Amino acid sequence: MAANTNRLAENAAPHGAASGCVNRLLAGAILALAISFSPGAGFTQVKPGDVITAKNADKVADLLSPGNQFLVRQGMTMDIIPTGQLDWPNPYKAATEKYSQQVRMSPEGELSNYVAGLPFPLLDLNDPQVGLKIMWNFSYRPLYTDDIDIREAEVESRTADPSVSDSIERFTAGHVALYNNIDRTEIPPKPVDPDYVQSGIRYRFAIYPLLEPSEMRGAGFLRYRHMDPRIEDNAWVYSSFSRKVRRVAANTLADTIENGGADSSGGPSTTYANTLDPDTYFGFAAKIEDFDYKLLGVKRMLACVEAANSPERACPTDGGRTVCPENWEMRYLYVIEATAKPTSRLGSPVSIPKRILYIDSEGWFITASDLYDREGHLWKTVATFNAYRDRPTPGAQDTIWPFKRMFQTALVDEDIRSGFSTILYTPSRDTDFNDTWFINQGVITPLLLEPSNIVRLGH
Amino acid sequence: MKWILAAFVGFLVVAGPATRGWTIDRAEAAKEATAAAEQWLKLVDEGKFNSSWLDASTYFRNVTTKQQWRQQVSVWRSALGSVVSRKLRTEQYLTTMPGAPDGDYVMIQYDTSFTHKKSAVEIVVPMMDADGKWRVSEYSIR
Repeated sequence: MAANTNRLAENAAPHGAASGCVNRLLAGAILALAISFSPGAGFTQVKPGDVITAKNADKVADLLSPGNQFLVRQGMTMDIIPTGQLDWPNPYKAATEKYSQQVRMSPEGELSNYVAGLPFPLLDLNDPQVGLKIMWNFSYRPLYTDDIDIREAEVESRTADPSVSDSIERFTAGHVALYNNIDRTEIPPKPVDPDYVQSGIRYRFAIYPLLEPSEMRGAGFLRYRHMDPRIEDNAWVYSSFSRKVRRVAANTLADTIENGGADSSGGPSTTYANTLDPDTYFGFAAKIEDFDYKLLGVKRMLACVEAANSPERACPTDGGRTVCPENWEMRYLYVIEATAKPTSRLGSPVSIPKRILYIDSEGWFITASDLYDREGHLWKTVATFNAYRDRPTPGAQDTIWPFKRMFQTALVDEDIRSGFSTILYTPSRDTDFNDTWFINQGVITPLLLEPSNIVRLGH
Repeated sequence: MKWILAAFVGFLVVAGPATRGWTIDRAEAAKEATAAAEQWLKLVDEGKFNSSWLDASTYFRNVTTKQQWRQQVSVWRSALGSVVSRKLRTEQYLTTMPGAPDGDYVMIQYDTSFTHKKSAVEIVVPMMDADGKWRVSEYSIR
């Protein structure tokens, strides 16, 4: 156990945060976890240099979520690399050190006094609220604190039918954009936009305008998250066909979103992407307070956190239903069961009432999740592909960051019953831009993420 | 007794600005803060971003470098164009701001029209600085 403990501390502790109180807190937390958990059964089953294919998928049976195992068995190839270290941006470390001690959580799980940084750097596994605290840490993870602008994102859906070689649906969006009102660590106003005091809005998120397919060109999706747990998300869809903005009920954000629909607007009733729902963006995007969380364990498993490719490439060995070959490495992951609250403010059941989430213990982003239907059966699986670099693509010029950042290069969302898969490529495989991920560079403002602006850009 | 009284009066004189919070006239504060905000906005409107940083509160200059400020305000303002009109919408006196030290703040909102954005809301938050003067501590546009 002692050897394992040391290995865990070496592999999972964010070494780049190697100074100050935060690091001492983190080291303590990681050590506590190490003492409490032993490695999974598959600990010695893979080593750097191994290549995992459908033929030897059994080697990683204990190292992936049940749903992600399905992706390997259907042909996703994995290159096993040594475990790396994910360091946080310095401003985020400083914010964690400055503000984390004032953060409080009520017995009901509501966060108070949060300003910026990781809310709970020190976790006690015996704390009955540890699952929820891990989810708050995920929610305020060190990836995109101020704003993001992903230029040219692509969503492609493919079927399991080998006779269909082309994609079923393909969409590209000009921008996937986010503006945070709190947790701002790099760009003024910081750490809190004064708009937050007035509006109570935590963040604004949008996907706009769709560039293709041509019949949906100009469409957009907008979502506002409020800090108050009693206020549901405000979401809108702009249909370029009807030229109307319509509100989207928060309880339908676990479903795919239609672009108006033939019944309401006379426009095409195609969905944005057949399996991907807004609550699954970035692995999990539902309102934290709408679920109950249980920590199932801390496990050493495989995840893609240092992707070799950006943009990603469609997997040639599974009909393009995932991205591969990619780098996978052993990580310490928090395994969280998220169950939609029966008395949710949403008022009606969501279509994905249970998710098992796998969260990286250093980067605090979701690496995988398995989604269960209302009957409790495994329905879909999600795998995220993440990079850790100082620029989004090798040819970047305007987006060379002063330090390495973590960002998502792709998200695979597959219905494991039918094999129908949707991949979000960030950026698009066909982009002409080298500067695709603007992270904390101040290019997104709240004004850009208003319904009126989505309409203006959609025309 | 005289010594105690003298010491108390002396304390008030020395620590005047810092202790004004509990005696502050909110209406007067709003008036002074609004005047400071408008003077500061004039600098921003004229593209004098360095001067606007220098004229901002100590707190603002501690958390935002001149370079960060120049970069961000130029992004905002170049996209919006010049100010066509600005009308005071609300003033709110506050003693706390998330992430900022406790003190005297006035959150001021303006309905502002820019050449490239007809309808926007500017939020300017002057705070009472250590020398008792109102200076802008936060600014945002939505």
